[in-house]
Amino acid sequence: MDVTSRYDIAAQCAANTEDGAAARDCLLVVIGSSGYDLDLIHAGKRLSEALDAAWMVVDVQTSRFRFMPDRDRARRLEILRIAASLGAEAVTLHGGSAAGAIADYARLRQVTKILVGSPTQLGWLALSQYARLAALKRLCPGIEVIAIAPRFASAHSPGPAQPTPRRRRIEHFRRRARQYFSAIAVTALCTLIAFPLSGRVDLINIVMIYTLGAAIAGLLLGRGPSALTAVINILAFDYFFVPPIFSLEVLDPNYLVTFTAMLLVALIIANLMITVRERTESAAAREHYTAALYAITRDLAIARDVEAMVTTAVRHIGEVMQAYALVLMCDEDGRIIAPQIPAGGGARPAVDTSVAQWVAAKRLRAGMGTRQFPAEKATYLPLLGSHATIGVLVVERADATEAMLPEQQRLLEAMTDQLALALERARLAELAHAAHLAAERATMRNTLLASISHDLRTPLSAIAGAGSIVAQNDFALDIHRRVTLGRLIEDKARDMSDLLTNVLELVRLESGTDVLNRDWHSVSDLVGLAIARHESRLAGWEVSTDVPGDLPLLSVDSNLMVQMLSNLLENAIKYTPPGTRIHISAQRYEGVIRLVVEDTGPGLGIDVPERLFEKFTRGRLEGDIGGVGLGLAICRAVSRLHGGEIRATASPMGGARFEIAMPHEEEPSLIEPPSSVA
Amino acid sequence: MTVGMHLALVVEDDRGVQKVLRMMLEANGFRVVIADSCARGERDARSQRPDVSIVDLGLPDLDGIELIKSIRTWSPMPIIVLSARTAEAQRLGAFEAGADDYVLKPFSAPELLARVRASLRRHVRGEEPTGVLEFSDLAIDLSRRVVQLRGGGEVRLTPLEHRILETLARNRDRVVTHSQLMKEVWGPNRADTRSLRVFITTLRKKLERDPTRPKRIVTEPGVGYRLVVDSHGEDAGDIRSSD
Repeated sequence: MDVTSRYDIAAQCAANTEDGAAARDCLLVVIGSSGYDLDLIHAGKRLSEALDAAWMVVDVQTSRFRFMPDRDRARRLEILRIAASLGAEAVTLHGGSAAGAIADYARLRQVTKILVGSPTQLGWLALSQYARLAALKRLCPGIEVIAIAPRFASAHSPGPAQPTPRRRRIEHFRRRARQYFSAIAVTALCTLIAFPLSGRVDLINIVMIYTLGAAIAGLLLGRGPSALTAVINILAFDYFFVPPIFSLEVLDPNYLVTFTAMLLVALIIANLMITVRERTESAAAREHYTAALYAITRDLAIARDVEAMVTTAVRHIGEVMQAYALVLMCDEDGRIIAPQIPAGGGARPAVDTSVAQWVAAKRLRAGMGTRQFPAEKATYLPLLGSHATIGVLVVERADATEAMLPEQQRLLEAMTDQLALALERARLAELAHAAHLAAERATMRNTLLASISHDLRTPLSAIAGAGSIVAQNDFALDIHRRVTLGRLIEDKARDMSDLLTNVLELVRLESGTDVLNRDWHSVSDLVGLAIARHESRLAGWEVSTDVPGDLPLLSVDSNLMVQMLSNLLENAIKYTPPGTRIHISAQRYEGVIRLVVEDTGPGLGIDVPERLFEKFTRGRLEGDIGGVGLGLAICRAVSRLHGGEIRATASPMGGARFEIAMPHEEEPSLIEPPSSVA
Repeated sequence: MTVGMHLALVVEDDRGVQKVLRMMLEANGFRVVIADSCARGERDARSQRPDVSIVDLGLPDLDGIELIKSIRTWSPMPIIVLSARTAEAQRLGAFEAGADDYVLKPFSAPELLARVRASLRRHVRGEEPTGVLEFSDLAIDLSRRVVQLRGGGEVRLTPLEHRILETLARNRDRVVTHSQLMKEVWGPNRADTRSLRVFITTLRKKLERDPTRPKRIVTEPGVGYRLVVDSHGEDAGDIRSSD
């Protein structure tokens, strides 16, 4: 036996293989066969590091696994998880024979070394362990099988015993009792069928009936009950059929051979039946879980945002696990944010936020069925992203006393991984979107700065130039020239002021924090205020208005509305030659008031008028015409804020036409004057 | 105008604006005192007894609003605010503190001067609630509630229109805030800007040549209305006592 009592084996192995084949080693650690699996895993890790080998940890779940206490099952799952966290590939194998399953898997993965626990116990169990080890070595020719003894006798003390719930124990006991009772019933039934035939058929046919009964027991019952059937079948056969009848005495020694053969055949058949049945069951269970996993993966792929993903995952996990689930998201600093309520409402697990916070920080599972906070009713699983913990999944079984089956545990982990992946994907998409927006904003800002600095500098240079001429004594300006320069300075300063107003207005509108300062205003008043703003500059243009006095009042922000109309007027002044006619009109249509500003000028000068309303877009390339292309962007923002729309078209008058449709509500009744009017 | 030149107090901290205002006012026959803070403004107002004050709101020591409130406790002199603050609430606040007018920076010198003169005229005249308002093309007889057109013909005013016009006329050339107007016309607690807008519109139809470009009942956006008397002739727009 390759029993080494030290972990130095790793170094030794490394030395042995130093001059060996260049082929990469592959290490397989088998757990579940000893009481010190954790030590085995650590040995495996050291060895794999020394050999620079890939390593995997397998847990063979034979039929015995089903009947293990919950505590042991949970421990083995935990060990597998630890192995995975240490970098091993954690695998669970199913099979009737541990040695066979391991050997098959080892060949499949081209394993070079197998690490197993060395037999520690004395007596029967030690014998079976030695037998298993021998079988493994026999089945794996060419693979080094290393048995490792524990480091310390008490290196691994079992964790605090979890009291198996009483109800569960009773349940288990009842089931077993029922099975054993059925085993006896099978024998009784065989005897009842066979007894009337006694004397009419050969005894060998009676034996057949009992063998059939043993096979049926194997098909329906567990190992123990089947064995019981096999034994009492023989007793019944002996008692009822073998002469002397109704006595256990056997006169003919030939029958002893029959009994032995009967027992062996019954046991073998039962064993085969049970093996087949278990395989079928575990395959069915795996298929069920695969289907569940597929379903959640598919739904998560469809889900667009974090909320939808969480809702989907919570629903699936709830269905498959018969549990209440909840997702707690983490913020950038890893702190738990307020719980996401599942859309369906209903029962929710009682969450201990401090436990969730612990889970998020340590990136470890906690709660029921784990080592940390095992007293918690719910299980807390971290949703691990590539950089940080995305959140914590909290699952509470509907029946809190029922421990999770290992398959369910694995499924839950797989679902958790899927959810974490999906959330990570969503988060990355969000980040990418934010980055895109930021880049766009930066471009916008640069354009804005460039345009503004150009459009402020141009009038500034005119002002500075004109000012310096006026200030210069030598120039001996006549009064006419001085007035011209003064006007120029005033006009340019006013342009700059208007530009500034527009920029500030746009910033305010786009910040979105400012709500409209609505009040009732008459259209004619708004139009009048807009015209008044440009009164002096409009002198050279022919302005006409057509605003009926009976138009309903509009509930609008007068400042913004006047700014909008004033921008349209300013455009007309800027882009049409003096003497052009500018017509402002308002009409009432169904549900809207249509405000129109049109002119007889040269038109829009752009193919797609819609583009005019975008920021920094201008009808003609700026030559001497100042402006940054913000005026119409403001017009659109204002009209949209009021629920209206603005369009640019060609005017039937020949020039440009801007049409604003403003929705209006039914006018409320007016307050009558008090009756005491003199 | 040469006899007893008006004294104007300018409370403004920017030297450039100080210079412009001084030139503008002195060129138009005013004597000028300049203060660059609220404290100095208050002191100069008490010691020099100016006829009119032009007050900036953003002053280094206190808000100009405080100065206006303080002056109003002891003097009815015209106060004109000259400020870059455009928000309606701020304009309204200035009027409620007792300002007579509000001129936005950047300002045009002729406009500011016109406002200063108008406020002085009103102050000298005092308030006369009844009489005939005469304009170049029409006259409003407040006592008879009739608008007399120059070309002949009359337009009658409804009682409510009359009351609005009367309120504006009492404060002619001066902004009457919405709330003030509504309180005087409808009584307290019956405020409804919608009604006010409608009646102003009908009133304009009777008084203005082009109601969309009003010259007499001028909207002070977000604050109120102002009745503007004709500024072309010195006599036009003056109120003659009806008796």
